[in-house]
Amino acid sequence: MKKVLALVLASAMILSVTACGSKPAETKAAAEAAQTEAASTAAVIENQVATKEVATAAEGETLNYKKNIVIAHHQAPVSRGPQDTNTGMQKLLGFMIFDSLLRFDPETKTLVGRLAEDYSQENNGLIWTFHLKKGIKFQNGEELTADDCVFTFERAKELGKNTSAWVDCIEKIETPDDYTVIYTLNKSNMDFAFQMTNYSASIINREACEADPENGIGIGTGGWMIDEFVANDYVSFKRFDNSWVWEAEGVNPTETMTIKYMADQNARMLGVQAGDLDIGCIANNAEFYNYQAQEGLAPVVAASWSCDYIGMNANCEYFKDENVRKAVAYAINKDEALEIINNGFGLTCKSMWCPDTIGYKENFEENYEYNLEKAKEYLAKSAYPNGFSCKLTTISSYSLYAETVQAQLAAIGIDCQVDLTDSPGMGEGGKNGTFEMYIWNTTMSPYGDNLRKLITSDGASNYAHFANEKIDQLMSDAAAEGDEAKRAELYEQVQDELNADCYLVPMFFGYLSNLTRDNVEGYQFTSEGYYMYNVRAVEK
Amino acid sequence: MWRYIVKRILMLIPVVIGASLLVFCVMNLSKGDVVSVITAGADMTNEQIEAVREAMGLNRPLLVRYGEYLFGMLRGDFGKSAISNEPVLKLFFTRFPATVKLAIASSIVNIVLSIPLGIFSARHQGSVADNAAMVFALMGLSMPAFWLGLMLMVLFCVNLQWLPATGGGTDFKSIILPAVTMGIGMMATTTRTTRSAMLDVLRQDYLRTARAKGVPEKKVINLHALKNAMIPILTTVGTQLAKAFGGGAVIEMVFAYPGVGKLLLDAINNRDTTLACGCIVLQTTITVVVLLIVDILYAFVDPRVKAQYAKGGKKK
Amino acid sequence: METKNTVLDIENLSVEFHVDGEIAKSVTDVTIKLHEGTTLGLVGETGAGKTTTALAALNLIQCPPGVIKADKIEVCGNDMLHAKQHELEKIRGKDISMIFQDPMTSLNPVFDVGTQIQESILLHEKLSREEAWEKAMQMLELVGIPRERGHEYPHQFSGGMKQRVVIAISLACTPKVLIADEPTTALDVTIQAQVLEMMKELRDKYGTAMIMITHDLGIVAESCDYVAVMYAGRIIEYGTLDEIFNNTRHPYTEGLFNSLPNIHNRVGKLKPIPGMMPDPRSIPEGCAFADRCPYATDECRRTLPETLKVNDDHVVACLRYNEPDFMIERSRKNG
Repeated sequence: MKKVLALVLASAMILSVTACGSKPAETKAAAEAAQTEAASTAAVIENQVATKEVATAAEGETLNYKKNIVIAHHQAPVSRGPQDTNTGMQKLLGFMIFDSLLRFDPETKTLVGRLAEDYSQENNGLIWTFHLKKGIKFQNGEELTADDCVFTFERAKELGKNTSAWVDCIEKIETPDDYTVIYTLNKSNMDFAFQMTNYSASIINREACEADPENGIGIGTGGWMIDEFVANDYVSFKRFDNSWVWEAEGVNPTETMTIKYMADQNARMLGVQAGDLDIGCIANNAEFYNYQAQEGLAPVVAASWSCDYIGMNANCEYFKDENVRKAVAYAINKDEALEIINNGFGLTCKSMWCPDTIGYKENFEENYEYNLEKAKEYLAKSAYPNGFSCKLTTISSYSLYAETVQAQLAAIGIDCQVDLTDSPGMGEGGKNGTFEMYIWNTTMSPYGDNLRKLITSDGASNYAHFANEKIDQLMSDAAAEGDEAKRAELYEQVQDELNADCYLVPMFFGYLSNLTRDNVEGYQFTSEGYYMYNVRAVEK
Repeated sequence: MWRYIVKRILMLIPVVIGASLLVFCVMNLSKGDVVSVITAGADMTNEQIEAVREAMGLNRPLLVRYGEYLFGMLRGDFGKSAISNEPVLKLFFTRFPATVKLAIASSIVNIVLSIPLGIFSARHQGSVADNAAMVFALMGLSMPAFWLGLMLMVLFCVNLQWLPATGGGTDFKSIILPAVTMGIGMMATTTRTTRSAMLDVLRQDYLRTARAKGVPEKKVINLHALKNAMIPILTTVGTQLAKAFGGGAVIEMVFAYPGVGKLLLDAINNRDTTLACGCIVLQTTITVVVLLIVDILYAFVDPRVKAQYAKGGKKK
Repeated sequence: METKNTVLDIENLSVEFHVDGEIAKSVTDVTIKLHEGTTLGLVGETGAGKTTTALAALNLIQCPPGVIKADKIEVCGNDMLHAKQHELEKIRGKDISMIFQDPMTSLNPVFDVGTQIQESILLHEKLSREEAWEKAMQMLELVGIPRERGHEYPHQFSGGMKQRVVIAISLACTPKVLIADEPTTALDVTIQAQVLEMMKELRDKYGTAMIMITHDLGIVAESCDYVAVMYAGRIIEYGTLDEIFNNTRHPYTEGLFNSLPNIHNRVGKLKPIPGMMPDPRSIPEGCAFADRCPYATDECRRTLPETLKVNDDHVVACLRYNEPDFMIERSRKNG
């Protein structure tokens, strides 16, 4: 009796699971229809920005907006200020609370002033002068002055934990008057202005930090002030009505915002589907079209310059041979990889360089377009014509990358043993040079010198440990080159070297999708960061 | 009785030292350290990163660092999180009440579901209902917590819209789904223990005496019998409660519940040794205390146990 | 027999147990009529069906696997067979009480003895908690236990004292009928005497009718007015104490008396009854004792003996008494 019952129950459970797995016919058809339509729109992101413009009311109609917006992100809020840690979540918070002197506009590909009205440089980027806008208020009522810029730099330098490039290159700061700041760098750096757009260079208020060292770093000039900060949980904001942002861009009707830490992707997505969240960041790309087919949801693809690449350690016996490296480069089918791993959202790479960065080129003496025949030819020429077995290291969440690369390289006889670790493990292995082949990721930025740490011989992110003196020299020269055209040419030469060396095989820039409710507007998902301060939701 | 309690509390010391030493060693043996997490995304050179490492004292030998940590801990200073720079005690105890609430709530769900079910099964031993109840309990054990949690979320938050999907708070609406998910996971063991304990007791002669006295059947089962079955049931419930105080990291992750389980998990992923060690030491201490309280409760349930405690030892 | 009230009236009681497809006939066609103030001794070997009969009187048999069939089971006029659960609960402990065999396991280990007595009182009498406790303490003293020990737990008492507590519980509400199932078997002889003495006193004080279940004929001689001998689920001999002891008729009863060691006859061997009582699952046609009976005939093995009247105070179920001259050894000796 017991056995019969158990058998019946087990079969019932298996049947119900398979029944749940299959979608009802209509949703499937709708999803497929949406897929073909959206395929054209999703993958091509205009100018690296995904926005939804704010709706304008029709004649005689008033739009009602929700008072509170809730956004969920997959990382934890750790600190109030912009200088302590650098994660996606911190950037998200930072752009709500603070402003930097300048911002990079991905649509026009130029630097525009935020807190600075204008700026200029002399001596090939040795001295930089910024003029601040007048009348900008901090959230504690203090006015923005040049002294705050000095304080921002002093605190960052003292902290010394997670400094961005801008801190190290400043030799001295002068403030001839309350609204002028002059930075003198320790060597010529044409990218300084761009580096000042980094969120860690956001301007904080001296008075606030001195009065309250713990919470004062959370006082900024942006449109939102911190109401409640619960570390590792959520941050809630109140609109700061006196912010210059609302004067410049029009007041956001939303009154309060909450940004929550929800680590589980499924839970985040369910939250948006249930209507409890307005925006859920980092959705599952594979579900993009299903979300589009559902009523009330609007998934949005966000472009990014996060480049996933394969690295080959220069000190590993197999990869010392150039022919092996080229064989690997030809064996990788980037389009297929993008399709499998990221559901096709993204841009395959032609060069180990950011398309928005000065000097970007796509055509080389030898372009490594996917070509199995050529790959096999190169391998045959190498010291390992019959293939070999090597370790392929990456982080656990990149296991699909590893499997894809493993499969693609198996086609030419290279057997990859996948070794999964986590982020700190990658840092350690990379530093010590213990990798053989690895898959990692670098977030590129549209300023010239940004790949220094990746491609120079003593670069901290150069886990392939390759040393190309020519690249080192070119990068130093270019950083100090005032003439745009000459600079671009120098960077083109850098790319030629990288391409020829082939220690790094760039795969693609993977775009991420985010899930929003369809009545939400005013967001900006850009390759520089997510700007949420203008988000609002129309009440239906 | 007091001697017994003091003895148990003194046993905490070797447990705490052992746990912290183990965590310290394991964290340091794994690849990578907290500096690579802190400096991720920064444009720092290798020298600068090394300087940070040096400034944080991470290059000193393991035993030196552990010794410093241990003496700090004994003074009550659990150090600061390397990532957020906040004191570990503050981080832990900000989130600990939430874990306590969840642990108690899920234990309540556990008790409310499993004791009646276990009693019912015991009384109808061998029947279809008994087998069905056991299979149901087993299902609770077999379903992975994150799956069950998400399924409940889909049903109650998305489809029925009865509960909020955002989690995060510890008010009734936010705590009910995590508590039910956790409780159902605990249910299997407790139901089986209740059932077997009750089966033992239902055979006993003193129940026959009670019936012969004219005690109503309900009272015979729920008072006369159950009180005798309490020791094994209390053990199971107590152990599960103690475990729940350690924070169900998976449940906390799925429901974005602000408890200590996720705090510990993130600390480990970030190689934040101080925070991880602090969390584990504190959780261990709390678990030991909870188990001690459970053991003391035995004395109130079964007078024979109380007599044993009074003698200073414990037979069980 | 005097015409007093019948406090326990059982007519043609049969109890079967259906387990694993087999039927065990534990009690068959038992009739007992107990009058106010009298004591009936229910005698027989282990497994004869004595305890089952007693449990049936309180309707405490688990059904299933038990099946009770009877023409009548009445306690002080209350129909036990058809009463609903809550009605039964009112009668048990109040009109009829039972003392079980093993005092070591009869008391609930997690409640103190005072509470266990008090519970019975609270169930059946309209007294406040304090009044009930006071009465419970009085009962304790009545059975010879100082009232200061009322808050102690069963494990703190010896076997004899535990049995006294059990007795206190059972008499707390002055029941009309008390069934004592081998109340002294688990106790040693000196305590046995004390307990029996105490029971006699209480019985005399309250006028309780009692069924004393025992396999010890000495106890029967001490305390009983009537005796019923059970074998394989049936009553095979019934009569007054004097009749059973001095005018024994049934061969089985004779065998019981013969099994007793004789202090005056140290030299002779013990005379046990050969063989074993039949398994309740396979009770033979005809007389169940036939296989072991020195007087058995083929007729005995085939036909079930009906109850024959010896005189007004004595009945016996033995076929051979159809023969006018049949006598057992014991009768010959007694003359």
